[in-house]
Amino acid sequence: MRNVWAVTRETFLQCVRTRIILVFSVILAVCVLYVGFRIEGDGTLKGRIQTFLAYSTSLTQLLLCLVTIFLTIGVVTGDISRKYIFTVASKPLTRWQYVLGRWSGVMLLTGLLLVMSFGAIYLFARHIRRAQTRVEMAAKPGLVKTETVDPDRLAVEHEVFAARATFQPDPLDIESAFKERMNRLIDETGLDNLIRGQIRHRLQPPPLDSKAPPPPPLDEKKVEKLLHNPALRKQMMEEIAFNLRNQILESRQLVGPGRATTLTYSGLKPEPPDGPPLQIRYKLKPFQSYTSTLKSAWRIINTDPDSGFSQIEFRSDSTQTTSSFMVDPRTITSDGRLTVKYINLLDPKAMATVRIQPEDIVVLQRVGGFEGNFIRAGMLILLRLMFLAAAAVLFGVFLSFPIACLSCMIIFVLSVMSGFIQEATKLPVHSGPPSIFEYFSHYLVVGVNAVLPALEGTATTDSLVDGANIPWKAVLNEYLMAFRPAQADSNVLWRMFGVKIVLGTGLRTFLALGIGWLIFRKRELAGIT
Amino acid sequence: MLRQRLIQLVLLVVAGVALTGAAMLSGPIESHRKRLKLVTVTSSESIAKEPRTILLQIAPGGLRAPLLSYLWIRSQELKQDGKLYDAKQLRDLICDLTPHFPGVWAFHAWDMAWNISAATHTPEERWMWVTNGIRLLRDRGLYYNPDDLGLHRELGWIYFSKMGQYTDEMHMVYKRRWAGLIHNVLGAPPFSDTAGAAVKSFSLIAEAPRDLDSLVADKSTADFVERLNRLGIDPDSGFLEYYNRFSEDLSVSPPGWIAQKPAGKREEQIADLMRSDEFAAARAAVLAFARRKTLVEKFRLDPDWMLEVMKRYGPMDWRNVNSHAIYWSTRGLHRAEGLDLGKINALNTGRTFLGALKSLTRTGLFYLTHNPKNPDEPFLDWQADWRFVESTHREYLAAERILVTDKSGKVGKIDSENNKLRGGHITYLSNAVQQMYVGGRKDLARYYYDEIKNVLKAKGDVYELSLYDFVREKRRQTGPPTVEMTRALMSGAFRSAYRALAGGNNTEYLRHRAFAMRVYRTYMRDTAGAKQRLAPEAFNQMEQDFLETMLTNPRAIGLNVPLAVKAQLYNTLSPQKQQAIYPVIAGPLKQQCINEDQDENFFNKAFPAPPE
Repeated sequence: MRNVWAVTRETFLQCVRTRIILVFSVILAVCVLYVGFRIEGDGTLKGRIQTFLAYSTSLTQLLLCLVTIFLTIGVVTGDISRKYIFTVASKPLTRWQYVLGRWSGVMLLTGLLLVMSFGAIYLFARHIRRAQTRVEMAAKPGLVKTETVDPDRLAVEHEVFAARATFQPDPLDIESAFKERMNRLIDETGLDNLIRGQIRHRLQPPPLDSKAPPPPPLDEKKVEKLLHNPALRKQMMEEIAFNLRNQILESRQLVGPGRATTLTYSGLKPEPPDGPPLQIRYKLKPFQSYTSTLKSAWRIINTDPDSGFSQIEFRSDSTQTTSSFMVDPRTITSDGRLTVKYINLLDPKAMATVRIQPEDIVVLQRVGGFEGNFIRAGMLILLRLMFLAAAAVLFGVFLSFPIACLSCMIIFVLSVMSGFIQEATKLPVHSGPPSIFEYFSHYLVVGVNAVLPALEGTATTDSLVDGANIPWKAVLNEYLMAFRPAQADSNVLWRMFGVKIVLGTGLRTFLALGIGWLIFRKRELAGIT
Repeated sequence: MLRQRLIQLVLLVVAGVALTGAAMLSGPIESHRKRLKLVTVTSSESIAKEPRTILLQIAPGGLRAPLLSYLWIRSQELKQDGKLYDAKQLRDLICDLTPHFPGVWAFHAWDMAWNISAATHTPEERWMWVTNGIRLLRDRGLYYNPDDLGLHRELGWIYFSKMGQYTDEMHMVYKRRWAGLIHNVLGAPPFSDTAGAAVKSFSLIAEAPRDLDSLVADKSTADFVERLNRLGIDPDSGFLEYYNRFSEDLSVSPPGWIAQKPAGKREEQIADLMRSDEFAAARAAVLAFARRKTLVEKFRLDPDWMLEVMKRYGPMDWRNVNSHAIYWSTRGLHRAEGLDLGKINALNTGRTFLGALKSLTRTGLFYLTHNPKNPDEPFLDWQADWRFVESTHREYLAAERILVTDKSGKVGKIDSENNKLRGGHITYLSNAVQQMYVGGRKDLARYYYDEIKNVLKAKGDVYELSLYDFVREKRRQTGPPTVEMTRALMSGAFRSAYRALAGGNNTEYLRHRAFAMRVYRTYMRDTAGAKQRLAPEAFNQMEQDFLETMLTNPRAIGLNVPLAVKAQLYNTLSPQKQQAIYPVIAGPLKQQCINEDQDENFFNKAFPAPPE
């Protein structure tokens, strides 16, 4: 390890001496200061802090990513192009020690820069936090009562300088309705007819275009043959059950005008009466309607028999836009449940059925402080830098400086935009069979995503800005790997195991370093001509 | 080595040639852009005032287009996710990237004022987003595109529809806050039966010196400004703030019982300056200068055009958003097409102009009461202002004449099918007739009733009736009145009731007051019950506002009430009503007694304090 440390130290000092680090440090400092002093947000103190956090962390991230790429490639390709590598290779230093040392040297420097810039951002955010809100500015003696609730200050303390966990509603209990509907379906249609219909549907799905010519008649013999295949029967029954559950669920999610739905949230932490407020965040989507405003009433009830505490909110919201309101902590039951009743108010001008999906109404509760969250966000950003440095080493050991930079930039852009690219190259569902190009682009992106981590440009920043908790588990998953239950659309391998393994960015980093070492090990440094 | 030097030399020459070529081309390009009205702000002015915008246009180079697309998508996503903190920032950035594309400014201003504001839930947030939209257009969009008609129209539309109408549940917040903002600059306008007093008062501001040097040319004014400077006050909005707090000008200062006392020696000296008779003339000059300066620099209004608008259309109260709707819609045509007010009409200004003029008829008289708990949002009450009926009628007729004129220039009949405005015109005048009749202005009601019949040739049995029967029949036909009609009918009824009471006719008083009560109840039952945002103040509050106005500023409601009649009226009121109005009327009435050479004993006898 002494050898690795020697290379690390040398790399660190070499990087510190380069002009590029000075230029980037100055740009970084100017950006953070400019954002801190100039950006106003939407006019509220909360908005100003959120905008500052969003812009300063994004800019820091971007600049550090770029500096990591250029610095690492510069160091590694410089060694080879300027023949310094000969003096290194003549030392008792193995190639993996060189690769690891170069990588860790750059990481030491960029990590230091990250700590410094995040420290500055944190101090600046705290400084802005002390600024006065509009209500506080107007609170001259005798004008505004001092006990007046200041929503802006409340939002700053409980929505920004906080780490809040997000709770989705408990799944609706549809099993009894499902059994009843399934039994009725079998009684009315007959089991064989039901499966036969599903086989027909699979063999010949209904045309998407109603004007399309009718398809040729089905081969009924084939249908009958498949009907008696036990494995297929089981599969068809699973499909029928899946569709039926979805139908029941969708019908339960629709709330007509004047009607209500009750959602329950479990696993919350009971709070004392003066504890931090909860927040309900929702987005109302009208179902088959073009209404632009929806009126609603919300009743949040503590169902403990000895409590009976409830809160009522009347709201008028733009559709498809996320809104939120604060909820008294006394609404949580002693066993950590929260009951929310949503009422779609009758409005003669806007009669619309509303579709409520689980992710549309969430409850946020404070579970930790801003500082811890800020550190975890920093750790995630550091991980990105680690991966990019590893990729830079990987390309630097066998490509020239410009080509390696280009390759690394492509990887950087693809990783940052992975979500968008995946969405853009999805196979079309509603516009006929996919073309060859669509298949090609889809599977190309699937392949690329299997190798590259999803760095998701603004995800970490969004969590910080929203005061959304970044759990240690998520950080660990990102450093190592995550195990997720296999979904219906997962590939065969994951479905077989019932679990999907998602490789973390940390492991991908060491994979990239390993590949870099393998290439470098085989590389002939001094070609004999 | 020599080869490298040679290459460097050649490249230097190429760079020099390219730069010289670019410099030579920039002149013709600039003039070509000016000719096509693509440049409304010179480069040097832009660089001096908005270096960031210039940098943003140049720095992204070829990436400006994809950057713009990204910013548009991101800003819409943020809006949909309820993350409004970044929305203004991104919108500013988009506009900075395309400053000479008016559509971008118009869209973002509209989006902020109408959509983003509707996604928020507190009065502060709503007001902030509506004014963000206004500021984006007025302060920045029109700076880069001063001759763009669309931007002026969009701005006028925000004032007229978003702030002036009733569809937004927080429309009163906008009306009150805007009225408060302008009240702090201009105060309440004086009242007279015609536009004369208001125009005369405003012309002092329009004709005020344009710069500080002209202001201090007068020795006594220079002395006053010097004293202000020594106390750290410049003759601008800072001066207005202290003038509003400490002066004895009743049109701006809050009533004595809530007025802030000077805090400390400095403020005492300022208060002395604001009250001293010695500096009355200089103070008036500085006041006009500061008001003009604030209008121009803060609100981007042209006082000369404001005065023109007042002279033509009536005594606009600039605290009313409808006045600004008219200002911006006419100003746009003037800037874009060089039209003066004589050539601007209801047809070339769109719906805003005529709509705002009609709204002024129904809401033109504003009463602002200081709100100690929230000074930015004063209490607001209003009444119909019949001084706008004539100008609205005239503008209707002017537009109608154009509609019925054929291509050869021959003016057709007013009741021809081409006159699409006639129906609205008749309805407007019919409503005005009803209000005037209920308000006791039967002469005016009869005049406009005749105009409906003789000029507009209205057809139908109802127009054959006598004036009295016409009013009754119209009320029966119209059903529940609108919010503005309710206010207009109530203020008319109060006017008649308290005139009768002052004259000792209790029966008439009870009859008219009962009518006001009936109008109020009908409105609350049929309309306001279902739509909370349209609910007016409580009946007693409206009656109290009216009484206070009648006793302190009767000209504002078209009455001339001598001091003796005021005393007679005050003493016929119930003790409860006296208790409610006394704190507000005592100061102005005491002042009036002094002005009319009466002593304080007279005041105490004529307007005795009500029992505790």
